[in-house]
Amino acid sequence: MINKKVVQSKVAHLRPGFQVLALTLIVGTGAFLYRGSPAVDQATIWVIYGLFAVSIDILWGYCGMLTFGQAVFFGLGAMCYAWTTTDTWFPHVDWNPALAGILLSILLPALLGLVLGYFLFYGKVRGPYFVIVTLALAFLMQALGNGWTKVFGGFMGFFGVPTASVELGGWSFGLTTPLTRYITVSLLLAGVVVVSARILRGPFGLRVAGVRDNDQRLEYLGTSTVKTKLVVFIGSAAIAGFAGALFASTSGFVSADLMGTLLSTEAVIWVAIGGRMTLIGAVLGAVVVRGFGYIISSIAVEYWTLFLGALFIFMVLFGSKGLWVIGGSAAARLSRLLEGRRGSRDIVENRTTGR
Amino acid sequence: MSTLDVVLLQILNTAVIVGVLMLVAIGLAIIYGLMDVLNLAHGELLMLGCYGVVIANDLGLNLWLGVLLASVIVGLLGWLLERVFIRRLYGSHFAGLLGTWGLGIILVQTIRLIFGPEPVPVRAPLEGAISILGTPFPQYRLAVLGISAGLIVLLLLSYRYLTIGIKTRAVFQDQEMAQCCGIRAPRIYAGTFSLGASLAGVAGGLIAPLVSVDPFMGAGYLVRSFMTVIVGGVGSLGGVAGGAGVIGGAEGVISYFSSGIIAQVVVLALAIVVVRIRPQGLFVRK
Amino acid sequence: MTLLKTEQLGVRFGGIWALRDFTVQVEQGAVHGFIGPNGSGKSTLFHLITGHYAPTTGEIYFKNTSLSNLTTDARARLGLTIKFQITSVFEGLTVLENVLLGLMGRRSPLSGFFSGTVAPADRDRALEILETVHLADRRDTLAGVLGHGEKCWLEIGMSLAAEPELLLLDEPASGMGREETKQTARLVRNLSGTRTIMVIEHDMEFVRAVADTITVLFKGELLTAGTYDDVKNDERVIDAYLGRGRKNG
Repeated sequence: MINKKVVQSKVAHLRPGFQVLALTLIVGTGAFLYRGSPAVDQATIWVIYGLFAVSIDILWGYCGMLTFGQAVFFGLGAMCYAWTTTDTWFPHVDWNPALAGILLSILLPALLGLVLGYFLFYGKVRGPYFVIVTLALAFLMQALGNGWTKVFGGFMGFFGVPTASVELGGWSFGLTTPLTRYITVSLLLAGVVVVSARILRGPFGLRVAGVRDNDQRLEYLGTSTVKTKLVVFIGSAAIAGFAGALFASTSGFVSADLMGTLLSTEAVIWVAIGGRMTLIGAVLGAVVVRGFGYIISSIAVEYWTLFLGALFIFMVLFGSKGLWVIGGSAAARLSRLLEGRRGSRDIVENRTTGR
Repeated sequence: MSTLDVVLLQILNTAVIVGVLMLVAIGLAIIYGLMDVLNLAHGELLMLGCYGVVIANDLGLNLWLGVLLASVIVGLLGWLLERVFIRRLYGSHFAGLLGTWGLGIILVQTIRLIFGPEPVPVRAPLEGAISILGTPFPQYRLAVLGISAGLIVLLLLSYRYLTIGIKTRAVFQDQEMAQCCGIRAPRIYAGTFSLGASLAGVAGGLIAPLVSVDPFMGAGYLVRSFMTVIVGGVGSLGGVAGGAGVIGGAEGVISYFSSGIIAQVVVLALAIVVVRIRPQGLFVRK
Repeated sequence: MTLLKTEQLGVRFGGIWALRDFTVQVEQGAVHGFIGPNGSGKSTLFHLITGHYAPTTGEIYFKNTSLSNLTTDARARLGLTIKFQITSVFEGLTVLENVLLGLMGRRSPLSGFFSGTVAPADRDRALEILETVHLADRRDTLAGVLGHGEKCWLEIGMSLAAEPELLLLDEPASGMGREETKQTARLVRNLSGTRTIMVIEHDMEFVRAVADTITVLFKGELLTAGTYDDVKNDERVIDAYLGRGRKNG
């Protein structure tokens, strides 16, 4: 006989994954109906941004470390992919350039995260100081990249980055149509969300919550908060780098601006708008803001950045729990209304009870 | 020019960088120290100071007057911003960081839409060089150095001895208590933000003839002042001054041998290492 | 056996010695009380033991190991746990989650990385501990909502979950009324035995009820030590508390 509660707790982490897939299904269909194939490619980029936003939600929403430089990992990952698949300073790669690029895009940002994290976390850098170091890093990487044509493409960037195709022992697989690209990216996003949700629901996630809530207290209980933060930082850097590689292979164009402050801070707004600590909220925020931008840009591209600045201020002054949470409670209230019930609050998802 | 001349001139240039950086960093530090807000729009306040001088240039005004006007106008703008916006950000680090960052974006974009994205040239109020011990020092740079030094000394003295300095220190240490003694804390906050802003404004006005003035120039100075505050510590004005010396000096020396960007990257790496070894800053007692 | 000892321990802030030339031995299994007027250095002593402050002079030995270069979390992993004067819990997490963090505290951060849920054995043990501190019925309440006394007990529960050999309690009865103080004293007495406890307290009834031996501090230095009765009648201790005191020599 199957214990229903045990089964529920075992699949609880799959729920966000399915929710993400449902979201991407809606977005993809919408894009296709709106303008056909080119819009689907655009939607693929949004889903990739969603993956990038998930990496920020893990670092900031769950672990409490606000960052203004996450795009450094994203852009670096994009660069790694461009290096292995096009003719640049990087030594020529014979075996599966695309796959090599993706592997590098995970490893190099993770390594950078390790080095940076080592210095910052052992130095007990937190809060505003962490923000300004990450901001400075993004600013400088962007400036460095814009000036260093050989390695980072300089002002012009790298063009003609090919889409991913993989050849493993006779079996080859290429993401040649917008539809296959969209589906692959959506599945990858869902996969990352499922794994992350599982980790964050377990003992490690509890420690991460402890770091966010009161990291000093956690130290006094014997947990190395430095190691915990390092794992989260490296993991989120790797995810961001991976998203960067996917971006490069989809858009075909990579420049140093992908490592910069504007993208880094805009991504924070995506997570804030969609709702922190939900993973899917991050994806929702990215899609909504970028989708909105897509529509506005066709009207007045001059004013998009100005609008972003105003959006930041708006979020700060009139901030909310995020669209996902608001939407969730509104939907719950609606369903209760329809069923004629009143009172009782929503059941809080609780890792300790396994519900 | 002889090698000695080149070296001396580079020292002067570095000293100017350090002096101006001190003004900017002190402005940032007093706002952070008093209101616990890291003003990410601080670089843009400097940029506004530059454009103030640009406008003075266009209007044909005396350029020293232009610098003065720039600092006063930016100071007033700072006062207005604090009353209308900044004070809603107190108490939450997230709000302060994201809010001031958004403000910075709006300032940059507004200037871009009015003046265009291209750099604007600015003439210096003083031209020509003075010969000291055989080396020709540009007069304007000497003047900038002198003015920065003078302002910093004035600040240090008034913080220590003037009534307003004592009141500020009181609010800094214990706001409620200070208010019980009749000190109006909201005014102190507005005044301090205004002061920080006008310091950035005057710095901008002074360096406008020396650097490339465009709407995006603020970020570089923001990053430099961060490095200063991280390395020097934020507890005392002396610490900030020391940090400016280290950061400005390092950048001046390295950029002589390599490019400005490389210098800043090295300085960032330096700051990160310092933060690991001495988290409270090099010049702050443990 | 001596579980913890300090030798000429001292720390100086600016020109002031918060603790000076302090030597003490804490025996295993004992409840060792620390009393003294405000500012006498009691909390400072605890901060030095946990590693929050670094000493200017002297050494601390725990189970004959020097604590000098160990970080706070490393010391906690040796079996040393503290409950603060000002309550410090995980306000945004439930009571049960708070105790679980205490339970899992000393394990490697990566233990159970992919499990997806907390182990049932851990959950059961945490619930047991909540029973001991009278908080079992509040297990799903957010810690931030608890009253002051309940937060104190929660912290004691968290400290217990960490299975410490040495438990430091800094004013566990502070802010509590008569009844709560008595309950806390009973709790502390029940905890001793296998565990060694160092307690700072101002409430003399509490100290009399729990402590086996007492050390008195005054102005950062050791004044005297002994049983409750020894100390209660000591002239110097009375003078110190009444403000007449000036240490001889």
